[in-house]
Amino acid sequence: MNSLKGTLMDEKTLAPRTGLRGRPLLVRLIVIFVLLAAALALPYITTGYYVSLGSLIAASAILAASVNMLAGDGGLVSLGHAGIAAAAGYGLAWSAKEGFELWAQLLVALGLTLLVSALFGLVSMRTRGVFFLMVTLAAGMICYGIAFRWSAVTGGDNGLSGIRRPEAIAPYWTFYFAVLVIFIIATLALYMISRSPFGLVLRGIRDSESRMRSLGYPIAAYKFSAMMLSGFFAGVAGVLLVWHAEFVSPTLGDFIASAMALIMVVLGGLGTVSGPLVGAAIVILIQQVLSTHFDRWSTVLGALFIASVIFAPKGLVGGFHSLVGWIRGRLTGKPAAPHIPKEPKSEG
Amino acid sequence: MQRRIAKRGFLALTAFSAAFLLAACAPPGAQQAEEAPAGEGGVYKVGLLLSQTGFAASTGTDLTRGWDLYWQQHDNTAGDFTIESIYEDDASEPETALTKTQRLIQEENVDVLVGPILANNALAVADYATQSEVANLTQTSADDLTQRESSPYVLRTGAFAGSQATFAAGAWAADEGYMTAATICPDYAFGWDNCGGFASAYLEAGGEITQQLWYPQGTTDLSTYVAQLASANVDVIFAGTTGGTDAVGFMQAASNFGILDSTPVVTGAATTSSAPLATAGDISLGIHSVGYYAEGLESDVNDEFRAAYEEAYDAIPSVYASGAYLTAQLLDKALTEANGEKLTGEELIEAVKTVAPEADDLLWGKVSFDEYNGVVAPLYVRTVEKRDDGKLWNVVDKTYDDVSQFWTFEPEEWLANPTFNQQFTHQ
Repeated sequence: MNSLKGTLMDEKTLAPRTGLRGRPLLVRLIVIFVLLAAALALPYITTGYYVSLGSLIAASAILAASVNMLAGDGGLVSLGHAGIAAAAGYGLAWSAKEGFELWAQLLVALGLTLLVSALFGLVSMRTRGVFFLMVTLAAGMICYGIAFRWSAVTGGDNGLSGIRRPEAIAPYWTFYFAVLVIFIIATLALYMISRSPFGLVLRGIRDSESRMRSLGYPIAAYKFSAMMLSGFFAGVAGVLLVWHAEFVSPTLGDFIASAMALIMVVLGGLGTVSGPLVGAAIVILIQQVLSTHFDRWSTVLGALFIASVIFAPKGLVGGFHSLVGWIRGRLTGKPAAPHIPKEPKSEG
Repeated sequence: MQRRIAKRGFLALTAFSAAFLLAACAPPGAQQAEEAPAGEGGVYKVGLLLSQTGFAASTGTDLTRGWDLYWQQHDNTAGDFTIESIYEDDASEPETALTKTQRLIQEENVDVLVGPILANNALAVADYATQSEVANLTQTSADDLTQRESSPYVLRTGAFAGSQATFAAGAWAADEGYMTAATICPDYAFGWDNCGGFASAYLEAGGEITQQLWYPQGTTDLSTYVAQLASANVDVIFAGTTGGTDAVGFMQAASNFGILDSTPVVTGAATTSSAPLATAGDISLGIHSVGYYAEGLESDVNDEFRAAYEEAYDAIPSVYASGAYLTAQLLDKALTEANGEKLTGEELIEAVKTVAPEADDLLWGKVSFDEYNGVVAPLYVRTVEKRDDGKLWNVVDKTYDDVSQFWTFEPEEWLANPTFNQQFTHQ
């Protein structure tokens, strides 16, 4: 472990990846507090509709963050995470319809999340790259298929309606605050996981699986654990999304939902802390707000995605950091801050 | 390093919790300012939730056309009110449908919601509308919305698929003297309902179903299934396709296997709607179908509607367009009867239920509503024919009046049973 830290920590690649280091602490704190203040003020300056949109964005951002954890640190791109979210959502919805107490509902949701995550982990832990993507895609589609076909329990295509949030978070604004708190806790937790020795090993596996194996790391076990952790956050997102809609149907777990989570990550910035939130905000605002005024919203989303991949491969967050660095370089007359270096191509 | 990060995270968390506690103390201002200004100078706001994008986009186009046409003809006026229509796209997806509903209700303060058409969207929207006490004239095939999940705020003024429409197909097949039948439907809620309606009415009337085939959602090439039908040796075949590519796939395969020449085929309205007919062409001639509306229905109101529709859009009106037009008719009549009183919520639903049976110029014919807010309307058995101008359309063969969502069954018994599924295929 120590030898690994020694080699990896010295590498420059680590620092700008999160975009947090290398800038004065004060600026960073000010930005965070301004954003927090804005998020807290939202229910007081706008209407219920926009507050609900805020809840939806934060809940979707948690799902995107769970995909980001695997994809950013582990290089494991999942196209099936909506399936895990749906498992949690259906667990909650079904037990709510059956009249279970809140704690039991959450227990069922947690149990299903862990079960499905474990299945995801078992089938995918020995794969990587495109194979990992295909296996998670298939696993996600199985979750969708079960929700779609097992109509006696899941309501089939029609889903389950009439689910109510617990009393304390029933009003839209308390629910918003609850989602916000959970989002912040999840983001901090994922950040700490990413910075932990566990996260370092994941990054090592991403960069060179064979080297990590030769160092004696049990690769499959690490991938399995990463999937369990990531799956847990996907499950949290699933519960929040169902509470938001007070409804669940198979579209929560379909391929489009999984793909949207990935698009949010790539658009916002793969492997960045704030990327999932930025990506979720953009995708949802285009999907829900722009579509009111403009029929071709999906074209806009597609064009933005392509433009982001070409011009800002590190997503909007990464692109923003480069831009700030460039402007600062211009203003101070110094050469621009070093552009985010390319990730070393993996495979060893 | 680790400690520094943990410390920073802890700091942020503490600061946030403090801010959160402060913020949560005062109830947000939005809570008080939510009340909508009532009666804004005689404007009656209608929020239409339609699938304008996504896989069901064609239904959104047709519904918009039918709705617009009515209000163009009536100068956007219903009684003392000026109708203001606000369109929203649900992207054929329930999460979006729900967000758009929130916008229509909270931001636009609509007086009534019309739509949506997809079953899962409709269930999500109706639940929210009920909680907000906003009337919802829904257009969906989700039977449960007017059965097990019935709400005083939700009225099904249109139901384009589901089990109700296909009762007439089963009754017709039995009335024609066909003793044995085979069915083919997609293997999910839409298909279970379609085949369920046919099978319930057909078995009730003494017929016998020898074979039931189910194909997975999204299947376009149905030849392996239709080949089994070709050797089924039955008197009549029921096909409950979604009206998408599976409808064309069914008609082409049935034509190739010679079924269309040898065995009568009856389908749901979706299979012989204008899009599949245009693609399949002449092979579809003579196929029977059942629906609440037929383009070739002979009545004054339909002659006028069809002529205006064809002139405005250069297309033959579909069942969906007719449903939107009917909904507009019902809303107009309810608001006209109200004598200037702005009807919303439960009052509007009750008013529509009252005016419908008295009206004699409704597009679908004689329409009323049952106690569960489901539509009771005539069902037309239709046949595909070629019009003088070469276009294919559906003309009326036979009419079954006053068909309710329970057919001839007792509502209590019906509701005690589960919804149709793979195992429970008929009442």
